[in-house]
Amino acid sequence: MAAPESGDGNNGAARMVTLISSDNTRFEVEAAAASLSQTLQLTILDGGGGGGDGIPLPNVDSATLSKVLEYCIKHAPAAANGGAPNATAVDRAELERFDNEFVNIDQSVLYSLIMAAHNLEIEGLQSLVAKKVADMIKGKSPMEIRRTLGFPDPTPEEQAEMNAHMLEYGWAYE
Amino acid sequence: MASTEVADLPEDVLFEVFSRVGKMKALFRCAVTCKRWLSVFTDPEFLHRLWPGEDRGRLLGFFLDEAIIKRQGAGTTLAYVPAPGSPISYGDCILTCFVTDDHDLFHSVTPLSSHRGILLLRFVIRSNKHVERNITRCVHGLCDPITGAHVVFPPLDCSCLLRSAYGYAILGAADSGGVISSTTFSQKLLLVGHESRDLHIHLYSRATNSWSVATADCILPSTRARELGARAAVVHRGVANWLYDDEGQYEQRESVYMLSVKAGTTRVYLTKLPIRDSNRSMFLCTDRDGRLSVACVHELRVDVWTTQDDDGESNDDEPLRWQQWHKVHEVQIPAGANFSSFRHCAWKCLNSGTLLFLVAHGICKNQVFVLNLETAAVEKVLDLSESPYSSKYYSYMPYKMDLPEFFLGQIGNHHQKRRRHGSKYDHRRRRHDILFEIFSRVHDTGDLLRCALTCKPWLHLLTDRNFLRRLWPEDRTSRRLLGFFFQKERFRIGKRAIKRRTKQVASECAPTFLSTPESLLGPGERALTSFVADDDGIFNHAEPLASRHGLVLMRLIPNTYEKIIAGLVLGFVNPITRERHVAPPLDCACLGKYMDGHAIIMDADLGLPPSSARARSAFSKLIVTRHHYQDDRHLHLHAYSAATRRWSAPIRCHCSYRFRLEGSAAAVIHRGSAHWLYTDRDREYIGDLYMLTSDLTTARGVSFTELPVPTSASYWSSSFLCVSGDGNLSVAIVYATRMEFWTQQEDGDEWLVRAKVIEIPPMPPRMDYTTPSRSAASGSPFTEGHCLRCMAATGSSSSISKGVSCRESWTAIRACSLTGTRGTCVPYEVDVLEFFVLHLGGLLSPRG
Repeated sequence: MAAPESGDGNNGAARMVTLISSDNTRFEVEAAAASLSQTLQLTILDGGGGGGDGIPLPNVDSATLSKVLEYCIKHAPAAANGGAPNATAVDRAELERFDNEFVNIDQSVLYSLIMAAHNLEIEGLQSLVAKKVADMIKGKSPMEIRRTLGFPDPTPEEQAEMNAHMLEYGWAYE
Repeated sequence: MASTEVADLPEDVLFEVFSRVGKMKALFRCAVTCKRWLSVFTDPEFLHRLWPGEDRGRLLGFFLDEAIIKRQGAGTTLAYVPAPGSPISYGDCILTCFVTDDHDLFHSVTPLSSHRGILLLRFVIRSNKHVERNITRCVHGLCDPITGAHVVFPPLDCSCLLRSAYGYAILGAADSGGVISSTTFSQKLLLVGHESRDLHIHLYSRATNSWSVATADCILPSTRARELGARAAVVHRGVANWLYDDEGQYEQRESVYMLSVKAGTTRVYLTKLPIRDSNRSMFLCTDRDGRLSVACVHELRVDVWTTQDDDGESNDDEPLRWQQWHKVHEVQIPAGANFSSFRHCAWKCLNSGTLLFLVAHGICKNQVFVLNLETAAVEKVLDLSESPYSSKYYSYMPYKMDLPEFFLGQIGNHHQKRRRHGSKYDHRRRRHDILFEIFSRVHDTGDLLRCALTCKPWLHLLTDRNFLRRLWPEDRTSRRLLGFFFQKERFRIGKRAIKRRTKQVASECAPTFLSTPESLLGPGERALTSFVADDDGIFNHAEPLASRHGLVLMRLIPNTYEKIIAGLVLGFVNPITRERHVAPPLDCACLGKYMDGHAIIMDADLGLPPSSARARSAFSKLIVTRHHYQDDRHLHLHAYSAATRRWSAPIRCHCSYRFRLEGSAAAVIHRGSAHWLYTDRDREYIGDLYMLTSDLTTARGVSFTELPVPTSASYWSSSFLCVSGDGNLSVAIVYATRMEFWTQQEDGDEWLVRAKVIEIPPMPPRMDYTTPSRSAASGSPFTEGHCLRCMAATGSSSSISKGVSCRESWTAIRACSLTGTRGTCVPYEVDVLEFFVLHLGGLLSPRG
C-alpha cells in the first residue's frame, strides 16, 4: 500500500502532493498522509498531484481540508507501519488522546468532516466521526436529538407531526 | 431528470467510449474519476470485453537496451517501443517518460526481466567511487511503468555477483498462492549467482526491505556448469526455474539440469533432465496446457520436451517428476519465413504455447516474431528495420501484462468492500452511507427507535428493510435471541413473605435481564426496571413468564396479601419501546394464585393487518388456562382482549384434571390456533400425549385430541410442541442423548410422522453435568425451525444455563451463565428488523 512512498523514501525526501480545496487554497502534504484517503491514493498511485498540478477537491473547503489533513498527518506513520506490530502502547494512547480531542469540535465542522471523510474514503476518520455522532445520539429523546445535532427548528407541520408521534409513542419521549 | 449526466451513461455506452480511449494511463485515470466508473473498471467482465483474447498477458511493447554503447561507459536509458495496437503507446519514448526520475537513477539501467507488468532493473552506478574500492555493488530495483511507482532495493554485496546475477525471478504474491493485491510491489525477488560450485540464492523480501541468503547447501555438478537459456526465470506454479548445462559432462549428452526455487518455502532443487540433445540452444517455456517445457531450437525445427501427466500436485521433495519428461513434438519453422539468420536470434518464452524470437542480424534484422508452438505459425510483432533503432544491436525485453488482472489488482481492492454490500454503487445512497456509519455505532435498539422519530428522512431510512438488513446483517438466530429474563429467587406469596418484603427485610428479587453476546440490547446484566418505568414497584415485584414478538408477559405480585388473593395480575412490558400494559386482576375460582398455560396473541396471528394508526399495539389477546380444582376439575380458558381491557367469562373445556400440562406453558401458535401439550397423570410412565387446541379468534372451538405418537417415554423424557422449519406443527420428544421430531402432515389421518432424530451432543466435560431436572431439560419453542433448550448443570453452588438452538443439528448459542437461577428463565427473542418495520411503518402510511 505504501509502496510508491517508501520507494521514494529511499531517494531521500518524501514525495509531496498538492491538494486544492474548493476555495482554491493549496495544501502540500506528504503522499503518505494523503494516501490515507482511498480516493486520493488511487490518484497518487497514478502519479497525480505532484509538482505544479495539484489534485482539486471541489467538495471540500479549506477549513475542512486542513482538519482532515491534520488527522491524516497524525495517523500516517501508524498506517504505514501497518498499525499493530511496531506501535507501542504509548503511541496508541497518544493517538487515542488525539482522536478524542480531534472530534471535540463544533457541529458544523463535524458534519463537513464526515462528508469529507466519506468523499475521500478515509476509513479511520469516517469511523471516528461517526462514532462521535453516534455517541451524541445515545440515550436521548427525539427532541433532544434534534437539539443536540442542530436540526433546524421544526416547521409547524413537522411540529404537529411530532406531537402526534409523541401521543402515540410516548415511550420514545420519556 | 431533464439532462443526462455523464455518470449516468449506461455500461454499453461507456464501453464504446473506453474502447476508444486506447491509452492505458488515460483509462486508469478514467477509472478513478468517479465511483460509477470505478465500479465499471473493476468488473472483470467489462475488462475482458475491453481487452479480449488475453490469455496470460498481452504483449504491450519492448524495452530496448543499447548494450554496446553502455559498455563503452556512456549511460543510456531504456527505449520503449510499443507493439502494434498496444494500449501503452507513446510512440518511441524512453523509460523516464513513465517514471519520475528524481535522482537521475533511471538514466542508466539494464532491464533484466519483466513479470506481471513490473520491470526488474539493474542500476548502473556511475560514480567511480565503488570501482576504485573494488567493490561490486549490485543495485536492483523494480519499476511499474504504468503507475510510475518504483522501488530501489538496498545494495547487495556478494562475491558471487562479481559479473552480474546469473538468474533472477520476480515472484508476485499470486505466485506463492496469495491473492493479487493492490500493492504493486508485494513481490519477492530472487537473484542467483554462483562462485565456483556454490550456488548463492539471494532473496529480497519487501516486508523486511532486506536481502537474505536463502540457501547455500546446493552445489553445481561441476565447476564448468554454466547457465543455459534465458536469465529470467520461468515461474511455473510458484516455482522459479532456470536451466543449467554442465559442460564437463558434455560427452554424456545428458547434462541439462534444472534449478528450481519454490516461492513459498524458498527451497532449492537441482534436477537432471533426461533430455538428450547436442544442441545447446534451449530454453524453458510453458506449453499450451500450461506445462513446463524445454524448447530446443534446431536449424529448421524446434523440439519441445515436456513432463507427462503433470497434475500440478507436486510435493515438497520433488517439485516435478522429471523422469517422465519426453519429447512431445517437433515444430517445423516455416521455410517461407526466410530467416536466413535465425541462429542469431534470442529466444524467449512469451505466453503459454508461444515463443518469441528476435532476429538480430541478416535480412530480418531487428525484427521480432512470435512462433506458435501448436500451429507452427509465425507472426511478426515488431519491425524496427525502418526506425532509427534499425542500425544497432539491442537486447530486447518484451513487456507484457494481463491488463484485466492489473486493473483489478490496482483498483479492485478498494472497490470490493463496496461490492460486498450488494449491487453496484449508487451515488444517491451516499447520504445513507454516512447515516449507516452513524447508526451502526448506536448499539442500543431503543436509541435507534428514537432516532427514527427524530425526523422524517430518518424514519424512512429506519423502516427500509434493505437499510435495516445492512445494519443487522444476517438475521441469525443468535442475533434474534437478545437475552434472558429471569429471577434469582421465586417469589413466595405467603403472608409472612409479603410482610418481610414490604419491610425490606428480605432482598428484592427484581426480574433481571441477561444479554446474550452481541445482543442488540447492549451487553451485561441489568434490571427490568432499567428498560421500563418502575410504576411504584409494580414491575419490580414481577415474575417473567413468557415472551413473544418482543413482549414479555409478567406476573405482577401486588404488595399486600389482600390484593394478591383478589386475583391474578398479569402485565406486559416491551423492553425496546418501554411500553407497559397491565391487565385488570383476573378473579376466578379456578385460578387461585397460579395459572397453567398461557398464549400471547398478536394482531398478526388473527390475520389482522397491523393498523396504521396504532401500529405499535400489535398485542391483541391473552389466553390463560387453569384447571378448576374445586368442582369437576375441568379446564378453564380465560381470554383477555387488549382493545376492551376486559377478561371474558371462562370457557370450560373437556380436559379433566387427569391431564397435566407438558412442556412449555406458553402455547404454540400455529395457523390461527393455540396449542398446548398434555400428558395423562395416571399413565405418566406410558407417556401418551394429548394436544389442546383453541381457536384464537373466538377463544372457543376447543379440541382435545390424543396424539398418535408412540413414545417409549421414560421418566426422563420430556416433550414439547414447536413449529418445524417448513412451518408444520411438530412434537419434539427429548431423551437424554437425542431428540425426536414428529411432524404434522398437511392432510391425512396419520398426521404425525417421525420427521427426524437429532443427536444431542454431550455436555462439555468441564461442566459438572448432572442429568437436568425434568423441567430444565425440556426445550421451549423458538423461532420456526429452532427450539431452545436451557441446559442446567448443577455444579458447586451455582447453576449454569445454556441456550441451545437446534435445527438440523444442535448449535450452541454462546453460553450464558445465569448464576443462581431458581425461577423461570424466559428467553427474549425479537426479530428486530420486522419489529422496526412493524412498529414504525404505520407512521409512514398516509393518515385519514
